[in-house]
Amino acid sequence: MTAAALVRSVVHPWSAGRTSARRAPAATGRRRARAAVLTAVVAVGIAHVWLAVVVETSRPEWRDPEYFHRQKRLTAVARWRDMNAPTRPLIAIIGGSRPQMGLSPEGLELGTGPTDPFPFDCVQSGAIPVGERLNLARLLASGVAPEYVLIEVLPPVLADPGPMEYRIPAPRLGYADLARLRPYHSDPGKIPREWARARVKSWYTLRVPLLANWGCADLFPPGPNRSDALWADMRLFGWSPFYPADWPAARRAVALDVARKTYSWLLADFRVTPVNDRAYRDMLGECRARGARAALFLMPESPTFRGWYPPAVRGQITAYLAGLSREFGVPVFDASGWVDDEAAFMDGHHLLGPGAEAFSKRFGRECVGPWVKSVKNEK
Amino acid sequence: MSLTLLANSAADKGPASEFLYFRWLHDLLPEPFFHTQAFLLFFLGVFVLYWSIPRKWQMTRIWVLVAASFNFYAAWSAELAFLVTTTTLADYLFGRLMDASRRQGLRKTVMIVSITMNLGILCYFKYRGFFLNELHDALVRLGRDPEYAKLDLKALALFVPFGISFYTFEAISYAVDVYRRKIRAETSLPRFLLFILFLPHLVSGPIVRAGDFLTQTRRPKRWNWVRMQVGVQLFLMGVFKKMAIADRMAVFSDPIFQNPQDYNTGAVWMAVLAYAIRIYCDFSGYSDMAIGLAHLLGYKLTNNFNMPYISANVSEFWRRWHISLSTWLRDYLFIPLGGSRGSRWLNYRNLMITMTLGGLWHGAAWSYVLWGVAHGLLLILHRQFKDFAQARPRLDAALQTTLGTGFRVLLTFFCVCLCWVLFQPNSPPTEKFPLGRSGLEKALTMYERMFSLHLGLALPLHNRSLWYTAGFVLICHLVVSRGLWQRAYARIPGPVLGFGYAVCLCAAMVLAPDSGSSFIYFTF
Repeated sequence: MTAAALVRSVVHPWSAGRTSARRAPAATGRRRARAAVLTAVVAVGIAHVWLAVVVETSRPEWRDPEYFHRQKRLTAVARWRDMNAPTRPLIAIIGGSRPQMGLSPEGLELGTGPTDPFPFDCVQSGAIPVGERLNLARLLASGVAPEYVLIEVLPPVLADPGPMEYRIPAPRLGYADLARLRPYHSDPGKIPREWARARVKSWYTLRVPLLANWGCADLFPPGPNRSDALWADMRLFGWSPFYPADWPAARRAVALDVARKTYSWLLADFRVTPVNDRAYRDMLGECRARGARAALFLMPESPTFRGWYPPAVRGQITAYLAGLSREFGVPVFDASGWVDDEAAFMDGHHLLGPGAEAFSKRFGRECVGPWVKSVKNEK
Repeated sequence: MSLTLLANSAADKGPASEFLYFRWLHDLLPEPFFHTQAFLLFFLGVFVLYWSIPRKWQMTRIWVLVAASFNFYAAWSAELAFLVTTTTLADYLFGRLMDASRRQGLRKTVMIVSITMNLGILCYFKYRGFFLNELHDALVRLGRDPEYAKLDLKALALFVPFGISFYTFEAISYAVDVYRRKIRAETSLPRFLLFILFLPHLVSGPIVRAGDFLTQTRRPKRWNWVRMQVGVQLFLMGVFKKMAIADRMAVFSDPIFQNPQDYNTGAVWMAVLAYAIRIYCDFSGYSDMAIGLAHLLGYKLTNNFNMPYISANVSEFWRRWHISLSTWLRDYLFIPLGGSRGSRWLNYRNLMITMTLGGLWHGAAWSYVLWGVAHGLLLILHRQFKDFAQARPRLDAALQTTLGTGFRVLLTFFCVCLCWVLFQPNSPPTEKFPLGRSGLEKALTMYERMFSLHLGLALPLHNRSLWYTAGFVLICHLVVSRGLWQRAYARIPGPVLGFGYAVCLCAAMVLAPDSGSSFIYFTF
């Protein structure tokens, strides 16, 4: 069959069926085969389009479960708040894995009175600081309007030279996220291209979060692509604590070594990079524009971890944060030196469950509580 | 060539070509695997171009396929693509020469030259390192100076032309068939090039016979929806087997086959089960894809697998497993050696030679040789037991009952699984094993862990996935072997079938594990 005949048979499939009665079975076989092939092509196309639309609209957690399960929970909490306690303000905590494990919103103990705030962990591991910027934008675009925003600063990452294209995997992103991230990318066309390629085969690229969402996470071995542990067991307000039965010193030493390899090179030649500076400025600027009160905070670090900072770098970080504080009128809560017990950490900077509880209590009492009270008094 | 020269003549540059076109081609098609996005786009281009050419221009279509196949190979290594093409040209000329000559002595000489050339190239690329290293060790053991260092087999493996074992056998069978006057030598060069280079079977077979394939090249191809459907169905079946089953099973088996000493006894047994499923779905999946792609281009390749794990004995297993290889070995090695003629001992000798060389064909390592030897022994054992049982009608009748057949299937599967432990390549050096590990060494460790109780690590993944997959494969075998699928298939309306294909593809994509693995048989 020539190409023209092929096109004719596809466009006018009935014409191919006009055969004599004697040849009917063969013609039926051909019709059946053609229907099968064409249905398969169309069905595969529809399945991919359907999935691409669904992950953009009603099921964003199928592409980025760690963040969107939290956002969905937060939306539900905000809806409940609007109906039952409209005077209670919302505190959105934006950050990475440190507050995800180490900051318990319930543990802040900010009270349950009619004007006491709801804190919520809108955090995502590795989301610093461009990821924080993205998640804040997503949160605000979802219609949730937090009155307070706590933004984590992970000091070593301020010196991350990028490029930021590699920090967030493209399949996790939604179409709107592409525009949100463009200002932070050195090659603005790269991520949209990767994103489009990923969407063309979305059943493949999203297979790990899809199966995790469908209760089959254990079909994949634990690895960097599996994030179900970071959202499947999260607490009511987004906290994902880690309470190991036993965390021996040997394992801590291995984890600490990983942390050292990850961060110490950034501290060796520390310089706040423009892209990270821009991300924090954009976040603070957007909070101000939306009328949300923002604060920056630093999570606790173990004495070993703190020892990796050259003294001059510590001064640089403090000066940089003080500059932001002055410029945007936001407080900076530096809790990096609050915990001296190495055993309270998993790896020198991620608090284990008991350490997180103790820290959260103190953080609520000494920082968040007084801050909220002072804002209320200002009003 | 002295041993030193031969040992030091390993290529010192990678397979990538210096020519800009071939580098671009390599970027376009980085992996020669059929289920990758890059290959599918490449194939789509070839498919559209091929079917756009009017039917009466059959030779143009053939040239298109030859060019596509050459480019497919050259994307991996242009130099080796030229080498394959050159040897194919030589085989073509040898064929013509044999056909043109009436002198039997000359014909025989040409055939021997052709076989020697093909086997020589195969041995040079695939077995040189193995034999030279073994010789090196032997000389050292005898207190002699080998005058050359041991070769880095991992580096040498990079330069083995992919599919060399497969197309070498195709070329040999062609030379022998022409010599035996079973077929006429092909007069058309493009047709002959297509016979060897046809991209669906180039990488890992099936091993096609000239008589079957060249006849097809002479028939102008018509667009045929039924053939397209068969092609699509086989291709999707292959994709599912590879991505959803074989790669998934690799997650269980690979870490344990690499470091069996770290795992407990139960985990090692389950890894063997996973490996048995993996190797079947990996290779039969690849074959299904190859046959499916060939159908899409209007060609029919020989079936390579027929549910081998429901075989009731090892002889039957070899009639169902890698059929194109086992029939090749039968026709071009076992029968010329004397086959089943002659005394029982001669028969056993022929079996052992055939299976041992069959094992060596799979890879240049003692583990593969022993795998062949083990299968040879099993075949001999089966023949002896068959004679024993046939002399005892009650025992024979009991073995033919459903229960008896089930027992024989289980026993055959068990034996085949035990042999699979041997079927593994040597490992390159690692931190833990700086000298690397031979496949045999790993196999012995595995047997030791399997047959004595050991504590250690558990399976690397929840075993639910393994049992579900094993159950699924078993059900598929039962449904097909009982004829249920064939009866149902005829009644399924086209659109439902098409929807099923879409589900199959999406399921394969979703169930593919985190990291896909290469095809096992790709290395042969």
